[in-house]
Amino acid sequence: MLRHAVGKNATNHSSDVKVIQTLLNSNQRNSSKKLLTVDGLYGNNTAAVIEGFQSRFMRQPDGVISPYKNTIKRLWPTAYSNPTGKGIRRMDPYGSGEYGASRGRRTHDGVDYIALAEQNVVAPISGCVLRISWPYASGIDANVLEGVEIEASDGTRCWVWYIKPSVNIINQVVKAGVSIIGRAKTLSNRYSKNIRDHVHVRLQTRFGSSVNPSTVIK
Amino acid sequence: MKTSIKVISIGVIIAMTQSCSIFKKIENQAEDMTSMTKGNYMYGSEVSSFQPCDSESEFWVVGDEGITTELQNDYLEMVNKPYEQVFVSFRGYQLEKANECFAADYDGQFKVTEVISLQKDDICQ
Repeated sequence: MLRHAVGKNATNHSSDVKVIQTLLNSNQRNSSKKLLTVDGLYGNNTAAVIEGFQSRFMRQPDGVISPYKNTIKRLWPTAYSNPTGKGIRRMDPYGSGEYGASRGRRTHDGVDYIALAEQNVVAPISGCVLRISWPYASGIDANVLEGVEIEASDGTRCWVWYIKPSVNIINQVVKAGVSIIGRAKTLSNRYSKNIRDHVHVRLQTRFGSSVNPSTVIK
Repeated sequence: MKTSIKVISIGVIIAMTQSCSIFKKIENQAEDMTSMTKGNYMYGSEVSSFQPCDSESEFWVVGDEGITTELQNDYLEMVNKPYEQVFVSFRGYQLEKANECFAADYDGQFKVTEVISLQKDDICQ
């Protein structure tokens, strides 16, 4: 969720600083402390809040938040949630939505959570929305089916497909089970033989290994 | 002076000869690329696959919208259940492996420029 480090003598790219300011504010929401202005500028206030946060678990705060390191992982821990609140799609004419189910000669690399068309879909993982993602590279499906890619603080990547992403969702910090990332789309107009509407969730570790979402989304 | 003109002329002739052979090569490659390929095809939610006869490689099928939509509709009319294997003759060519989407799970992509036939009978044997 961070591209580069934020803090003392770091690169402090505006988009990264905005993410950190948002996370620090969210962490302080229940306290009486003044919230930071989310302006993407690294200044004294942001520096002080970073060090204040680090002092909770570091003897000598270094004032730097680096991608995938301890501070960012503590600031926005990786958490998971069911994106639709409904069960996993079982067998229909197009197969089952379970991880590893058959897809012709391939297997299903993800889990399908049943959805009602147009229902709100919440983030299945806490992190930052990196980009809009298209499950199909070309053809008519590419024009109508889309989703989002989210990165968690530990580098886990999550793709949520078959949703209409919320407006301005890119670069937004999202919380699993809380933040609405879009609305479910119907698939019945693409696949005529009674496919059950669903949202496809695919997970990969930071290093690209596939993860079965049902092992972490309870 | 005369010598340098001679050298330049020879150079120009060599360059022309080579560029002609390059053009021919490109032409031949384009012909090869759109040659007819037989194999089996499967379509369904998250699947659009082509495996040429006698090949272990499996390709994600791409093509112009008109061609792929007709191919998918004809396939769905022919099969009794999704992901059933049918046999096809395509004119088209291979593209490199995709980096993302479902297509990235395949060995490469195959761009169909023409569907010659679609049938249930095994034409690979």
